[in-house]
Amino acid sequence: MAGGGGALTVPERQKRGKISRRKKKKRLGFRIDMTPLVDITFLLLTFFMFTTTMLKPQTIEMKVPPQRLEQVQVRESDLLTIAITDDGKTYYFRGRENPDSIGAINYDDLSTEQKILLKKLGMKDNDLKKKKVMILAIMENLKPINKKEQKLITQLKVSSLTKYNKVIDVIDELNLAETIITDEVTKETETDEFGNQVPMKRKRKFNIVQMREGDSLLQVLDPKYRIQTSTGGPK
Amino acid sequence: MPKIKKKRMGFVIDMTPLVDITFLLLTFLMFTAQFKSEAESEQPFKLVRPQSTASPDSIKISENLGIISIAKVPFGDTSLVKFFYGLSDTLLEDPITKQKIKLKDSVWKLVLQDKYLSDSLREYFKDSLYNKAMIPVDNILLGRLIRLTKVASKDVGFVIDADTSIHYLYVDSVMEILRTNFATSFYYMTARRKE
Repeated sequence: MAGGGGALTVPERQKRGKISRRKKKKRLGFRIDMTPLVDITFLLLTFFMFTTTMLKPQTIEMKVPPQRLEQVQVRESDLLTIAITDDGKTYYFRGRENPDSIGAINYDDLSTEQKILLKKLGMKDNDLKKKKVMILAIMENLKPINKKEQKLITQLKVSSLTKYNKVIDVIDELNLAETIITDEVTKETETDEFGNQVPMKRKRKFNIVQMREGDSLLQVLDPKYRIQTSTGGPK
Repeated sequence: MPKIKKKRMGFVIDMTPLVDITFLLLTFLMFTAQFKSEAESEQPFKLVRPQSTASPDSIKISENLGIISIAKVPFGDTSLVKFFYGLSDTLLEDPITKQKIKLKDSVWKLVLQDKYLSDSLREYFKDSLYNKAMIPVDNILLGRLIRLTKVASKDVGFVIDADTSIHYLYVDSVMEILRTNFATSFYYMTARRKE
């Protein structure tokens, strides 16, 4: 590295006409030891260099089943549908039940046991008020029968004119719920093929589909179809 | 009695360490900074990604990726939704020659062997624009490009990078194209949610 500076030197003033008899005095340089400062700075720099992660785009993983020609039959009670309409409203229903609005899920309306459970699972107070899809997914998946049998299929039906960010919001909440559900499910044990007790595996069944014309859900949600329903049309 | 003159103390600060650190930081930043490529800045669209919560299973930048962008492109007073296809700059090893080749180059070699694709994308070759970050595609082109990307690299990942305000039906049609081309696992690109 290049050498440092020395004491500042000012050209000596010469007095005109006569030679200065004054004794030349040495100016003493004032030095500050910078070594500790540099040490700390290097330490900090190294720390930040090792811990900094450059901004990476986030991703949500999605798996879709390969195209199948044969239809898979499932029990209606094993199917939880979450539907997002064109205007971004979210509904849910099990099997062929009438849809309920997700917005109507209210934390305060939950039973005391449910409230305790959600808090015990580590849901933040802020999330309890806002993340209603997350609450729904946790409550449904952790119902004793669903937790034991692991057969519940969550189906996300999205209307074609729904805004993309609304879909991502719902998937994001379902993913957040999934980590809690997996934690809870793996606390249980099951018997493997060798008769050993092993932690239960989470078998997540999730599907995302587009709401199609003539979809029974559309008929339930759309008021003009609902009249037909009341007169004996398809539910 | 003669006055005792006080010694004047010179004040010196050694600037060397400061300069050292500054150079070090400068070098670090110079090596890590990524400039927008010419191709990227030429992109005819701007994307606003939807936000999602941080997840640990985010894809690595080093992975081989086929990126499908769905964006709104200005069209007169209104805008149109268009699909764009791009490939990552990652390197692949040729299974026969063992040479390292860019995923992009590998796919474009295959494109040249496909008459329909090379005809459709001729203008991109003519002006050697195939290095452009994203090229506009329709459903058929997209499907064929996805297939060729899978031929070029078996472990390629696909990313849907869509604008937050587009309708789901566009995302659904891209998902359907991916599915019919046996890419059943893919990612939605999002931005980190600000809590």
